[in-house]
Amino acid sequence: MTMKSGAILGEALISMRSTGMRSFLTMLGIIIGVGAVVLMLAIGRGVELSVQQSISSQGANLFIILSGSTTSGGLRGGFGSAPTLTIEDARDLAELTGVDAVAPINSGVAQTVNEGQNWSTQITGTTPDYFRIRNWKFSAGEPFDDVAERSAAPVAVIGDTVATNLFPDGTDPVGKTIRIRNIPFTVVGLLAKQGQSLQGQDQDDVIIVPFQTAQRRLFGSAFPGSVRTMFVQAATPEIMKTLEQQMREVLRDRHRLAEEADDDFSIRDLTAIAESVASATRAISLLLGSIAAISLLVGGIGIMNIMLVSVTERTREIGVRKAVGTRERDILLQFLIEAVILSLGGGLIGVLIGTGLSILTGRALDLPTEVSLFSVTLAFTVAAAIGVFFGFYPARQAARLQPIEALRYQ
Amino acid sequence: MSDPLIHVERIDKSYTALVPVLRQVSLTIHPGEFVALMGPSGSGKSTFMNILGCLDTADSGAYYLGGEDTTNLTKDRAAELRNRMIGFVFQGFNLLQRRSALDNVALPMICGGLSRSEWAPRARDLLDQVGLKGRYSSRPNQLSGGQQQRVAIARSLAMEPPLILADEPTGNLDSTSSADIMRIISGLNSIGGITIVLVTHEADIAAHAKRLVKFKDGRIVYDGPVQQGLAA
Repeated sequence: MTMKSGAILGEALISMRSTGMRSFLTMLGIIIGVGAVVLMLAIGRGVELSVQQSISSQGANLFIILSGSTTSGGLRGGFGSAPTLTIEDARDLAELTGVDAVAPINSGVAQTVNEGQNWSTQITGTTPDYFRIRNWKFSAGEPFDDVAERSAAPVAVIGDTVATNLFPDGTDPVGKTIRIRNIPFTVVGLLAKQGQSLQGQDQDDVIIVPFQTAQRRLFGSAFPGSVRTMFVQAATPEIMKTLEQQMREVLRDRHRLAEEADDDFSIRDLTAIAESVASATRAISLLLGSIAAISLLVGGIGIMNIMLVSVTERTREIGVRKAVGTRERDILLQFLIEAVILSLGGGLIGVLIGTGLSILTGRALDLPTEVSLFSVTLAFTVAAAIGVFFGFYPARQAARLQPIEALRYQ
Repeated sequence: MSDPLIHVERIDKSYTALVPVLRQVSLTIHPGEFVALMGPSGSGKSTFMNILGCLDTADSGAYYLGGEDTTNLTKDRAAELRNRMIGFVFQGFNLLQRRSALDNVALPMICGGLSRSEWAPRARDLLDQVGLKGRYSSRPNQLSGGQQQRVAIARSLAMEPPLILADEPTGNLDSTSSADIMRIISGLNSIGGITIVLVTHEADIAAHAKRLVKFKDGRIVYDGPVQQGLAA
């Protein structure tokens, strides 16, 4: 005749209830440990995501291609001083697989006028792809389209700083006409406020017009179709290295450069900036992760402490149970059930509290916190393992003693 | 005479290599006997008792309990023997501190696989028998020493064992409580017919027994009627 399994479960439950404070503290250790890990990792992930978002607003997976330099009378000009790139280059680059978008850019500074107000600002002539590459949002109106680009339409998208300087009374600039270099342009869109770039430039102090419009109407050029700068966006960050090589080959081929000649252009990979920011974010995540790990450790030590302190009492209890004829297996099962219920219960509550708090924190700090399956699994597994081990191991040791040794245990 | 309940043949026991606790001890006890084990501290009487109770094992020799050789018992079988054959009464009571009197008495029955509907009335009945009617839900720390020992006696009777082993059951009690406890234990033997082995170092406690076994330096130095033994 052996002990009924229901009776073992009953003994475990009664035992946990009768040692209420101890059970509660054990659970609390696990709850705090698990909750902290889940919360910290969720915040870390939130910081990472929010930085990633702000980086991608600068443009993600981006190359800038600058045209080459001139040398005249021994003076070497910088990149962009010779118009070696063309609009045809841009079209060919756009054909490459892995290239998402190409935006050729010519820009210059010009005076702009609206009625009594005037303002000098950067005029960027580019294609509609540019808005997509830079991930720019509009607060009013919309970007000009390919038709406007091809027809060199006198339309302009203006930044927030330009709008406040030309329309100080706060009227909606969309649909209004402004003059750039005395040529009337219709404002079709107003960019959402960007703030400063990573280099501290005011990204809102811009006017963007179609590429053809800039070339034909505003700046003119000795070399029609020449391009000073191009933005190229790759589909994924992984292909950037190979894509750079392919673009170099295409451009050298198009420019008919001899084997030994230097490039007459320069390709710059902007992911370096993104990477340095990402590594800073990783450091933050790592910091939060370490705090979480320490909480888990402290929680774990708390669990051990409580469990080990009760070893004397438990060992004597095991002695009594053995003396009255409980089988070792049944004793162990009871203590295992106790440890499992405390640990898993605590772990579950910890996950719930951690998740709840990360949602609240996300709302309060406007951070895209994200509870990952990884953090939940990690925290839950570690805490449950510590709880089960330290709840069960001393009991196992005690159950192996001769009954009389367990009874006499001091 | 009936088959012996306890038959011990030349057992040895030592905890350290140098000091043997029991040397070649042999003893036979028949059902219905009331035996007192006496001897000075360290004489081996308690160790002998623990071996009888399958709480400890001898180094060599043989011990038959109810005809069964206990030399190579599995742990489970030893637990079963303790559950079925033996009721323990300890000097220190050894009750579960956080559990009610009723739970403590029920413990051997729960271990033995009885369902609640079986053990609950019996546990109450046993507590009534030892004079603790109405104290079912009291915890050990709410009971006096004498009352705790009564709970322990009720527990020892739970599985109706043929043998009760009592290790200095009155050692922690005042004289009034001691007398009560001894009256109950004597009654178990004289009325219930239960075999009792009692360890004590007090002559007036031992006097309740019928047979006396004296230990000294790990050996039995007297085995006979209690009166002559105490007089010697």
